[in-house]
Amino acid sequence: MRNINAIIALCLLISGLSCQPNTQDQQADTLPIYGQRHYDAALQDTVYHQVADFSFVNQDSATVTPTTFKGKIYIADFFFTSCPTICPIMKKEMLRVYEEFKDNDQVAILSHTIDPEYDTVGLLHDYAQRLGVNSNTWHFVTGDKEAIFDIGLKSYMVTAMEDEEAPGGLIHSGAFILVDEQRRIRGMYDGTVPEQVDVLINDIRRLLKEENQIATS
Amino acid sequence: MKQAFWLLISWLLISCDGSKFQNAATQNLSRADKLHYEQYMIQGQQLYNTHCSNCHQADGTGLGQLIPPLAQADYLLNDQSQTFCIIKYGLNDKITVNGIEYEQPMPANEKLTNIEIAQIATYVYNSWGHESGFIPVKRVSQEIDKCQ
Repeated sequence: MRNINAIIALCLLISGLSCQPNTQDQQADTLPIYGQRHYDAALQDTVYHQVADFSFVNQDSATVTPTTFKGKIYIADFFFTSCPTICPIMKKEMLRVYEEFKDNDQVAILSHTIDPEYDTVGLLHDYAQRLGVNSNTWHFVTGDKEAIFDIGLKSYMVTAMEDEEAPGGLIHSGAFILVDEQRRIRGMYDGTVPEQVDVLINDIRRLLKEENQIATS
Repeated sequence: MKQAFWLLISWLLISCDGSKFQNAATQNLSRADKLHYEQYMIQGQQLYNTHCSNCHQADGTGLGQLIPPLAQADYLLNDQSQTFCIIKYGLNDKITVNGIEYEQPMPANEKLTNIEIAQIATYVYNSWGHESGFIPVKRVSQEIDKCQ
């Protein structure tokens, strides 16, 4: 069963990677929609890959579910507070995204710890405070470890797993994942590369424009 | 002939190479030490990017109140010896930098050799507006032996 899961995850990952923006999308000035899609005969419409249901706890002990992000777009990533490798760079870059959109209540950030045994609510609270960010915009969440690894692989199409050989004992992708109001993935960016984060900031503006056009039409 | 060749090489190195690294503190170095200093700066930057910049960032600004800055950091500028020791052996105690207390532990880098630490230190102490000058490996070796 584990193998099957891994294969499904791998397929999702490959399909996610191969789904690059095409010229049509650029012409229409909308961002691509990532992941597998299929036609639903009953709905008579295309069904897109969506982020699955989840329930985690943030730095203020509040429950965070997809409802938390209703009417918002959000950026997801995976990290752990004691991470000696790419996390501080990712957080420095995510801080730029935060500073840019902290006053816009349509934008949120969701950082999952992949080391929930060590990263307790109290520790995440301290971490967020020391970064100088508030929980209305930026959620640092912890929860069941398997559920976090699972949603990383299956919903966000990124790697997050234990590996004794890696520094800190965990390996994880440095991706920032842009999710729209319908829980669809609209962009993936390397959170350790400033130029890619510039693209993300620009894409957030494009996505907000798109969402607001839908809302008014 | 051979001498002339080497003279030409060293002249080329001095004139077109890392004069951009020179600052007030390195002006009075001998020609040989100036060359050493430039080598240290180049090596030091590479080592810094490998071992330090993930946390302290490429521009030395650190991260919020989680990871202290190195750029314009009073602690670092006031105590070179202790800085060498922290690079090598890490830090588990709290540290106050520019009036802010940081408590995230810093991992040790015991695999770094004294020359590598001297190169990193030379880079850190002569970047981001710092002008502390050349830190030869001999000095680092003396101080590292006294680390507690």
